[in-house]
Amino acid sequence: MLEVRDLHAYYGKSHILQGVDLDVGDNEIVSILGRNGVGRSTTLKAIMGDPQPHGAITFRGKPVAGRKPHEIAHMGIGFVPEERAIFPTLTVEQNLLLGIKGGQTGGRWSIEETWRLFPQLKERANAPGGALSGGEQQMLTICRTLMGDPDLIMIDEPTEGLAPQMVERIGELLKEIARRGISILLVEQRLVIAMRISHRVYVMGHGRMVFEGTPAALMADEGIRREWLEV
Amino acid sequence: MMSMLTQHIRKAGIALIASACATFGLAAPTHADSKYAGKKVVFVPIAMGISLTEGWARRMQEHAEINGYSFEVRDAAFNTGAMAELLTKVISEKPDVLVVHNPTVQLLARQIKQAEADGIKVLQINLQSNQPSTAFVGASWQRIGREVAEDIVKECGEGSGKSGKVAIIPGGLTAADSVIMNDAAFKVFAGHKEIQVVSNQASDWEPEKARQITATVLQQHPDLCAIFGHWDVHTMGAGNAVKDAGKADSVLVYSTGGGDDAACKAVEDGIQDRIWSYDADGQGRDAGTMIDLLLQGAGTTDGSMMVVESPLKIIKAGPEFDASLCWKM
Amino acid sequence: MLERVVAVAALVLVVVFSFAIDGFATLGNLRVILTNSASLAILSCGMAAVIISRGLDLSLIAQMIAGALVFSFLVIGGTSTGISMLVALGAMLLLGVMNAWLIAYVEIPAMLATLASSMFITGLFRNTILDGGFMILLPRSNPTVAFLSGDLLPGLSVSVALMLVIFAFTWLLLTATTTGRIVQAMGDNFQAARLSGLPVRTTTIAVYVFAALTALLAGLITSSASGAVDFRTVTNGTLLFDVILVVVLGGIPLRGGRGSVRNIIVGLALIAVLRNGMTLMNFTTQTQDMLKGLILIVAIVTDNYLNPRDAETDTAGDL
Repeated sequence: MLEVRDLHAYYGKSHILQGVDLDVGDNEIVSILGRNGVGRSTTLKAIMGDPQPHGAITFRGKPVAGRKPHEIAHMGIGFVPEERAIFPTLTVEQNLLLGIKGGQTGGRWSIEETWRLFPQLKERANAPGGALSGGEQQMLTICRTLMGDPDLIMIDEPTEGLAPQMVERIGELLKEIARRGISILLVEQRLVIAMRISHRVYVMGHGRMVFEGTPAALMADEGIRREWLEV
Repeated sequence: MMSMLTQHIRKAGIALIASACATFGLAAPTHADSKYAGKKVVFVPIAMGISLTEGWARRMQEHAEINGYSFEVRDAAFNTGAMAELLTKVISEKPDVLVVHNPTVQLLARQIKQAEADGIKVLQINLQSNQPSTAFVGASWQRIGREVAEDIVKECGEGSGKSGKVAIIPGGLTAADSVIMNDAAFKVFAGHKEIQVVSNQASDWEPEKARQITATVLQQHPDLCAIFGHWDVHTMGAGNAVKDAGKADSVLVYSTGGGDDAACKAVEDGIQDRIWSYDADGQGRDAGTMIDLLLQGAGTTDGSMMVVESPLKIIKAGPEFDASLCWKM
Repeated sequence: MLERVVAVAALVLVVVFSFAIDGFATLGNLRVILTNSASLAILSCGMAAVIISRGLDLSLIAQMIAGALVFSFLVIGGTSTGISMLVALGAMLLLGVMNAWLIAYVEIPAMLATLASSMFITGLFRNTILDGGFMILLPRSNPTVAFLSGDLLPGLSVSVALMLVIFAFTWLLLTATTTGRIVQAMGDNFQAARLSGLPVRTTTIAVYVFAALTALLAGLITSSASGAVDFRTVTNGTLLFDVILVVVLGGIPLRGGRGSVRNIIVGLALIAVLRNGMTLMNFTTQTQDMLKGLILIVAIVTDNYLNPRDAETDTAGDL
């Protein structure tokens, strides 16, 4: 579904991504692992168009690089950034409704689904987004992105700063999403949850991929883990 | 016969030379030319782009062109804050005559004094400063204030059957015209206890502000008898407010101004009733003439300020209306 | 919240003025207050929409006079009212799009972009149409002018009726349309709005064009009433300050993300009552300006005390 070849990206003069290759197939959950600062978040952001990507990115056969974030979102890619990207003064319900794109009809995810899976969100439907806890806000952002009926959803650090119980729920949510035929590209710090739910993982180092394979293969490769993952 | 021919040839030759001289502009130098050669006049108005100052500038420019001296305008564009600096800069250029339009009686007093001390002759036009200078051309605000007030007393005072209430709308409370007109008007009103000035709020010379002030005052004093606006342009707003309140027949709207065709139109349309025009076009000519004289070295024997008071034309609504009292740009 | 404080203050002023000033507490004075405030109200709606989207339109008053000028100039010159109106509308559309383009595409901060466009608009229209002049007089002979300055029903002037229409339209825009929600989202969390694929640029165009159209309407109303199209309204800056004052006092934060017509009405109530009272009490313009400035300072201090800024909601690049 998503093919990235030789992706370079810069922040000012810093050459952050130095030739990233990655693939995400249909109905797959793929995680990008690695230490802080190697460029995992930047990879997702570059795919989304900001910073400007240099390289070849195709989504469902169509080129993505060079388009604006708005257009890329309309092509079917959803992005949940690391900062809680909710609208704090709008209500929970308004936040969700904003996820629906102009001209969209139906979708695999509806507001009723959200209420069903997250009764605590339904309870706070009219509360301002800013009043929710960190975990609930993360939930809200993911759900809002789903309202736009994407085929691929990219999530940056969904479990950051969340209590273990919340982490479990997020994991459940992600598996449910994949079950409905939406692919997921994940940047995740917590190894355990990433390994548990992903079909494939990448390990990133110094701006490019240094490992690609199944979680089991990564567990078996102690060298890679020691060099690129452990502190 | 030979002498007659020679005479003809001589006459023809002189005619030829004379016409050649005329063609090449070598006319005999006149007494006036040598006085004006190289002279420079600078006009600093509050703002160009209004009929008053455009009218003055046009006539002064004509005099400059006829007599061969330079005439420049430095437009403060209503930025009275910058006028003092503008004037200081002009003074440093040492013009021969400086024509100044004072926004308040105090603002440019120091600069005018400085200019005169530097040998620059200062002609104040229409709005005077507290500081006297070589010359002043303009309306007598004292006369206008007094005449309008007396007219108001006649129309609204004892025996008229009206309430005696008057609203005054100055442009700016510290401008020369408002200061002097109010002083003169209040002196007249002092002798007539039935006249009551219910409002004296400055409109910053803006029609919209005058309109809002008038609407508010009319609300509080529905039996208002007269409005005296200190400039015909901003009084348009006041007149419109009176019309909107349906009181055009019961409230007399007075103003004073340069008297261009907009003023006559306002009286014709019933927006204003009586305008004391000081004829800006005529004032321009007076100023031009005064500048010519100043450049020729005119002055009073005792060094006091030369004053040319502008004759007034009263534009009145009704059977006495006369459109020829107004001038066109 | 600031809005409540201001609403109470407005109420207090009404009570105080009713006792202290003769003729304040009459129906007729209410009419005067409303008519004098109609164009300020309409401008505030345009400015509020822009501010909620985390923008700012400092060229609003310049647009107001420019629009009125285009219409007046054509109508006085003999062009039909319909065509003059269309040309004026077209001009305002262009100005609104120009502002939006500078801000959304060239990415100049709104404050700088609209400051520059304000000067550009003033200079352009004064030089080309007015030949360097400052104002033209607008006679009531034109039917549109007469209509705008007249009454719709006895007791209800056209200007007040238009003000109510714009209030209703703005309320619908902000609460019942997707554009309204996007406007709020942009002010609330601009980065998120962009990255989540919301049509931020087209919405920017929409708000600045909306502001331009409110400016045109306000300009036509004011010019028709006063009989003059006066560029000094732009250069002396008081009206722009009044508009921002209405929006801020009403409780709409300058960094956007929050705001409704109710806020505008509260802010307008205070300013309109204050202006009316000060005029009735014969305060000079200088005194009135000084008092308004004082009130703004008090409002900001009160707001900071009631809503202390916290690190999470503070956004970088705040006005």
